[in-house]
Amino acid sequence: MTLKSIVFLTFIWGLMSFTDITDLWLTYPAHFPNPTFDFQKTPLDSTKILLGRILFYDPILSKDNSISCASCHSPYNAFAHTDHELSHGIFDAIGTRNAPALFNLAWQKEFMWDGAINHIDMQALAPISHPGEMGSSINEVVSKLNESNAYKDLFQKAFGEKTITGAKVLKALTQFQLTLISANAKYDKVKMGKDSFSLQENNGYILFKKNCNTCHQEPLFSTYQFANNGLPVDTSLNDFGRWQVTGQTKDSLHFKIPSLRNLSYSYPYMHDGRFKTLREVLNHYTEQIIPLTSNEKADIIAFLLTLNDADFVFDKNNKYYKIIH
Amino acid sequence: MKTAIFHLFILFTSVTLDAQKALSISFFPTIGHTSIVLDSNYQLGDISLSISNLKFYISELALYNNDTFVAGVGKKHHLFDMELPTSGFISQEMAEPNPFNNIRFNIGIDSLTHSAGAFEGDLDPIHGMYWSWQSGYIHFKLEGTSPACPTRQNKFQIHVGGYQATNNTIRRVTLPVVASSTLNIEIALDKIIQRMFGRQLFQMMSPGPNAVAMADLFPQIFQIRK
Repeated sequence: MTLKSIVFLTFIWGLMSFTDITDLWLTYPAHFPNPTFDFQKTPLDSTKILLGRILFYDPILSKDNSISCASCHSPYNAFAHTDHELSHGIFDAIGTRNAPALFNLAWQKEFMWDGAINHIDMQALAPISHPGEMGSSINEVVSKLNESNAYKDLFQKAFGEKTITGAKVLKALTQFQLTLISANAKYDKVKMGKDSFSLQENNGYILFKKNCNTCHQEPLFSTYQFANNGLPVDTSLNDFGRWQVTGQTKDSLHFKIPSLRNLSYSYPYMHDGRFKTLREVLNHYTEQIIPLTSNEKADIIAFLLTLNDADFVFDKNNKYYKIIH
Repeated sequence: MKTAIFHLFILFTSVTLDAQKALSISFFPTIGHTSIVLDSNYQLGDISLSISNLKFYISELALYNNDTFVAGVGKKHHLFDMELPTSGFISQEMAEPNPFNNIRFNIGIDSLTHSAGAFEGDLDPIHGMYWSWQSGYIHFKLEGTSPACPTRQNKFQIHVGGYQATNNTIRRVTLPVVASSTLNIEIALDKIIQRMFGRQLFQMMSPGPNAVAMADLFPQIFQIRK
């Protein structure tokens, strides 16, 4: 075989393996931008995804084996914590922020409401070690997992090594979370030409594009930047958001702009869950920033409801997967 | 024929062995130029203290001849941990014994690695050298007790980290050396301790100006010793 043909075959093989990745796991519609996560550097792998999924639902990650990731990020709530303004962790401790919904994470670069986490791999360290969330540490998690033969087998299958490390736990959780893609709401079906908006939804869409799209940019319905939306600080929490991360006063009360997808599943709203209904949210904006008539508000809400993605919320591939250990 | 092959084998192995030379570098911490161990009392001027934990990252350790890169030594990122005596030794088989007259390394982790996700080995977050509440490696960690510390249980905890812009605490160390197969590098903690007591800063756990000022001392605390 000549050198040229080897190079060519390697190239083709590279292309094939990349297509596999996108076809099998990372399916997203044409109206979506390219993900920011580097899948060529860290390709998805079905055994790692399954391992991450099992870990996500396993309370072994918490100090007293009572709280799993899914305790505050429930699949039926688009991986948010419905009905809890602030999330609660071990020993019924109450946190200071509303657990954000988890989807389309492959399009995000910074994590948490204040962007304190710079890579999806490192995100899980925060809840694992937070005394009010899981109250454990990555070392403790790793030693507990290393005592489980079932987990050793799963890590062997996923990483080719029985020894469980912190990096492997984090990378497995990443793999599962990257597959949480919400891209099949009515809005998406309209974009794909499979459905159409009602008159009211279409009016809402026009109003949305005029008034909301700068921050909640379609099709992800967020720029994933940080902004101050005019909410006064809750003096019982004194949470100044991004300021605490950057130390720059211009970032005071800046929080990550959340996506508007799956709103009906992920109430209450805002970083501290202070609003229970969409109407309250909309009233906050119309009183402070964008004047809208009550008809216009109804139209916008009709449009926002087209961002609910039941296919994602009820996708059985994202659900609890039981192992005995 | 068999003997000839055997001789050839001997010849090749000996040539390889001759060409390869091991360089070994050892790091040892001191207070007042006295080598220290964990949890023992030391005196620095009128400060009495003991160290319970000393960990820091040595990265991109390399030999240079003037400003010309000669060879890298060891792994890209190496965690020094006083708990683990072996972590104070870094050795490397040197393929070609080229001359070198200075050694360079960073204390800390580069910003690119900082934001590239989880890594195995010395960079695994299980070593307690990663901030979980706000992403970032702790570049240098010094903990201990002193009766002069007005803190809970007289403890001090100095965690120096930060990788972004002006808060970056990675520091380059350059030490002139006489080429040798063994190099001993002293980590003289005096300046760090004096700064801590001088500024009465006994708890440092986040990026910022205090961490930056502490990191600025790093290039001065390493010395080559015989």
